[in-house]
Amino acid sequence: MIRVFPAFWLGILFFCLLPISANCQWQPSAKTLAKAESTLEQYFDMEYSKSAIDINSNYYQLMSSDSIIGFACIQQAPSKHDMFDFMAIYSSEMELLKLRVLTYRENYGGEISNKRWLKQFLSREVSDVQAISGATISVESMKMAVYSLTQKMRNWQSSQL
Amino acid sequence: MTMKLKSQLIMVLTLGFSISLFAQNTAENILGSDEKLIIGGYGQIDGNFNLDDDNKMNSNGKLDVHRLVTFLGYKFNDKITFVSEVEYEHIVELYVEQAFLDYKIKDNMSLQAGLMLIPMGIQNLYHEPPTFNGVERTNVDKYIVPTTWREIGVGLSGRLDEQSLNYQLMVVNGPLGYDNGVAKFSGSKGIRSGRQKGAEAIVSDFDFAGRVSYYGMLGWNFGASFYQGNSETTDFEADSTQVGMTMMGIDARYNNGAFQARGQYTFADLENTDEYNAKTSSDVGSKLLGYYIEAGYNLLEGKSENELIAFARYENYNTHEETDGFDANLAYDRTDKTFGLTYKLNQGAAFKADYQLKGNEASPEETKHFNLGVAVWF
Repeated sequence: MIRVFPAFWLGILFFCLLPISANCQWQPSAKTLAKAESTLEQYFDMEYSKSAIDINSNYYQLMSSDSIIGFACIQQAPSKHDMFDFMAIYSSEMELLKLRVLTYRENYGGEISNKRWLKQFLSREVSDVQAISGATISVESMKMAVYSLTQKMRNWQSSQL
Repeated sequence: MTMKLKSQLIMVLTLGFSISLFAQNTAENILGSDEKLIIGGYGQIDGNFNLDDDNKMNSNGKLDVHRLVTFLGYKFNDKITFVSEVEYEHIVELYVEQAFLDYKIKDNMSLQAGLMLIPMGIQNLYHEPPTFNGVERTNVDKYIVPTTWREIGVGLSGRLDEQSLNYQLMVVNGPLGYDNGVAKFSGSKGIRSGRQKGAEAIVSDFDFAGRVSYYGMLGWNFGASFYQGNSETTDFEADSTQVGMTMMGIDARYNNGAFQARGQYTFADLENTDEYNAKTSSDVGSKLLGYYIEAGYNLLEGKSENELIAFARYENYNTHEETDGFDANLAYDRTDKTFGLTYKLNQGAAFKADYQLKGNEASPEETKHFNLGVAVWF
């Protein structure tokens, strides 16, 4: 047994709880981008071109034969002690068509990569998506990320009209 | 102050303060592909009060910061991370719960080396206070598993995404059964007191531990764990001071909307206990067995972001399931029935209350306990 003053530890905690603003745009790794590409190719199965939209260089508008076929957004969200990369594919009406975890880094919470679980987002409200025991943080993180991403994209689309 | 424990109803109010403040924005600010330092933690504060038949406090109560854990991690690069958890128990006891290096061999496979959690059962791996119902961890996990079990070793940890499987395999030092004449294993506590926790651990033999969990069925999470090896001893030559250990456990968790349930079945076959007991004058059983089943229902489902879970749990744990060469002590065949409420705020903070009936095979009466708790996780 050791008598230790916890002040030092509390000091570190306190310091790190001060918000650190991160203004630089995240750039996905080559591996994440490659996975995103192959997922898109598999899904659309046609010639398409993608161009980044103005609000975020990782959000793309997908065109084929001069018409918009949909949108693809690559985004990061926090897992328990790290970040994971995912992609959301939207229809031209901004309905969620597909959700994929591109890169999951941690040992805990990888269960959110499960395709059956991710499919829920296509047919349910985010708040109705089921929890996963043992992956609480990642589940909540994904739910919040998908919700805010969808809001952002819909707001952007309204502003384009 | 007299202690009339036998004839009185013991109402133990455990005020567990589990406030988990999962600060999503804080985590996003600290973590990021460029940020290397990761901070987190969890806490459990208890209050225990003894009440007499008139439900009045008749002796000193106890308020305890049962545990306060700080998580400190550092990402050297994309492949190498250092993970550590430092725990304060009862304010003055300092322990390290985890301290290991994680090296990513592949996207979904890591090599880990250092002080790690033994992957036996649910609560040894997932023990942040707001993640379980009830103020205290289950006694099945405390005495049979025995949580928090962590030792030094090397292991492989990974995920098979297509098959929806998580797996872990490690080589570790075992619990210390014999310490210079003193028996660390006992009839009442099984192997619990033998946990070395990485503190100048004695290793005479290397043991193996592993776990597989399957999450392919929506709503379910199944797990199977094993442990195989020999306990350690300060007397390297003396086989009689070692106990062979074969442990297996299966567990399952289920949730669907407002309903949640979990169960676990863990047993340990200990070999050579007859020689060990003869040498150390101890009374270790040759088989330990524990299981529990729990069901809960979120009363605020669909009505609130917060959760109010009403739950009930039945536990049975017996550190004398079998004994070799002497009669089992029936008092070690214990049963806990727990009924309670968990009020979860924002997934990171929880207030808990539970009522427990504890009994054993040697006594016809059950003792009654009331616990309150606060759980924190950030």
